[in-house]
Amino acid sequence: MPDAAALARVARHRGLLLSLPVIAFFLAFFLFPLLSLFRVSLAANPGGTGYGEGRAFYVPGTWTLDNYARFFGDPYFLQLALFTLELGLLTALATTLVSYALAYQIYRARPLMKSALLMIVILPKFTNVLVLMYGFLVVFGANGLLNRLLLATGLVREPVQMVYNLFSVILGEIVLILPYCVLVIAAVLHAIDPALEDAARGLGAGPFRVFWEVTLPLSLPAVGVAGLLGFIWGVGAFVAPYLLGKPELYTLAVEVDRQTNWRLNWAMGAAVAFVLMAIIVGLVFVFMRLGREPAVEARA
Amino acid sequence: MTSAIRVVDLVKRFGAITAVDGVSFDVAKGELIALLGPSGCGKTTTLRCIGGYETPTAGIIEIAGQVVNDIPVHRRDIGMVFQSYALFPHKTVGDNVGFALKMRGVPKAERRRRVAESLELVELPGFEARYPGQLSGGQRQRVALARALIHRPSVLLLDEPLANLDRKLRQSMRVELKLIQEKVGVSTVFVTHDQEEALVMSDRVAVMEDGRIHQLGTPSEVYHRPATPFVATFIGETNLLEGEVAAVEGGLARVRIAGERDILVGATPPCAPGRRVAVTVRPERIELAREAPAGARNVVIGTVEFVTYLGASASYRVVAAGGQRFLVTQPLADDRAGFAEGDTVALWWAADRGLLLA
Repeated sequence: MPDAAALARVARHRGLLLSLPVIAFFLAFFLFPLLSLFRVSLAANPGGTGYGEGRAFYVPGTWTLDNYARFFGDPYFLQLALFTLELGLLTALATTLVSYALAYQIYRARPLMKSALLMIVILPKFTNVLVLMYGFLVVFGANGLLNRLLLATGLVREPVQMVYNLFSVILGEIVLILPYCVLVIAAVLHAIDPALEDAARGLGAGPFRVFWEVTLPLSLPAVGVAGLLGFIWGVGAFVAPYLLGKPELYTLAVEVDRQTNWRLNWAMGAAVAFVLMAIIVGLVFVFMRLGREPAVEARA
Repeated sequence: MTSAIRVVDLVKRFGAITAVDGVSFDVAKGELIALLGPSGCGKTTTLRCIGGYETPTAGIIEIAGQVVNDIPVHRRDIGMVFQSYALFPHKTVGDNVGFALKMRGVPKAERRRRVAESLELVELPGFEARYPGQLSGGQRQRVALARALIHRPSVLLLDEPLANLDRKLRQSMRVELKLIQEKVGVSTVFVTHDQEEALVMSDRVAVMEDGRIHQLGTPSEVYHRPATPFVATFIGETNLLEGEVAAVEGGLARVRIAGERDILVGATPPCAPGRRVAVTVRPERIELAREAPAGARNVVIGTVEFVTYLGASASYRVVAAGGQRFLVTQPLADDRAGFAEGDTVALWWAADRGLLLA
């Protein structure tokens, strides 16, 4: 006969048991590789440069903080980190503004238009990231569609440089992040009880004040999430700076690639990757602390 | 004196559906009118047209003598209470109540004073700092009312304001709501599907079905002198007997009911023999005994089919010989047993107890 107490114990931990497969997957394919990488970031740099020297990518068995020391001692890396943060913030800001505007239009649209707009927003996700970025070049490049149109109409004499600058990098990032942010904001907007806006109108609020006093404050949590998504994505930006930017616009993520794949310095690449991760995790943590306080206050 | 609200031939269509189909009524200053009817009868759409939330397809809406058809919601002088109360969850009770004043640019100090006054009116003094999420249903209801009244609107619109409260609270809030409305003296349109609520609270009731008003009258009028079979059955319980006028003699109509004996009823409105009519008799206006006294009119013999004991009274369902079912309510003044299921009984009523619905 099964022991009743044992059964009760199992029942109490049922949630844990059910989540075991996920935990196992997470340990095997995320935490273990991550820890291995962290170990590599603490290994010595093999020295030398370039391919074909028949050397290791890091010196196994060594323990050192040299890679981190180099990162925080070298203005090149610090500059890079600063620019990456800047790009993250700019991307977050731009993405949030554009997605809010789009989500608000979707929220206000009639049913048919709503579906059409949602489709357009999600469309970029149906294609490959690289295809999307090269598509950018096809349209906005020096020999691209837009420039040819401008030249043909005589509006400009010389092709306009529209890519390989900060603007194109941010635009590229926005296209990549937008769908998630729009969906998050649109979902929260649609969850607002329409009677609240009706009530505000009935009490004398015109369209702008309804938005300012009711709609916007109630959708702020979504704005926060969208901003966070934009920031995480922007700080980790790789494809857009690499394909639509130039070396001055390269980020920490591009640097990880350069160290690892070009300079074959895995130890330094791993260290840069961990600094990048620390920045993201730290800021997410700060954001979540900030985001929680008012909510608790409002409910207490 | 001009009416506070005038609705003239209001029509509202949504695509192929006609939600409101030619509704007209006036609300006098300080009067409370209930729009009563089943769901989908157009009562809420009518209310939303008065508030400006819907644009009428046809017809005129006047508030305080001014046609408001083209005036947007936020410039109409209204206060509205929603079924869900629609309190702003991110604002305190004080900011909720003071919202209309803020929109009208009233200075902060005066706003604070009037918010306190308004909360006093709904018996929630000192609740300014709380959030709607911290209030009970009844308290939210009061806050919603205070918020709708603070700017002294010329019109108060209530959309099923008591529907979300439990039964006990609903009954006490009815009286309280009515008292506050009378104290403030605001002209009010009140939408409800609850006939008891409409009878208790309103000065006049508009009974609606399918986008039209069947009858507009005082609670007593719609109860005792229903204009149509729909009103008779929707307000309270009734016995509705359908038949054909056989003869009209001495102010009385003799109505032939299939399978039963003819029924005598006052011949108002006037009607000619051969016309299809309905006769309504309220359950409490029918007499019930083992045998009908000599000279009684409209006597029906039947068998008690079902007894509902209601404490102060009992209600009997009686099947007549011809198959027609009657509902009879009798007060239980003492502990006499009344009748049991299976008893053979006689029921009767005087001709003036019934009502002819032509």
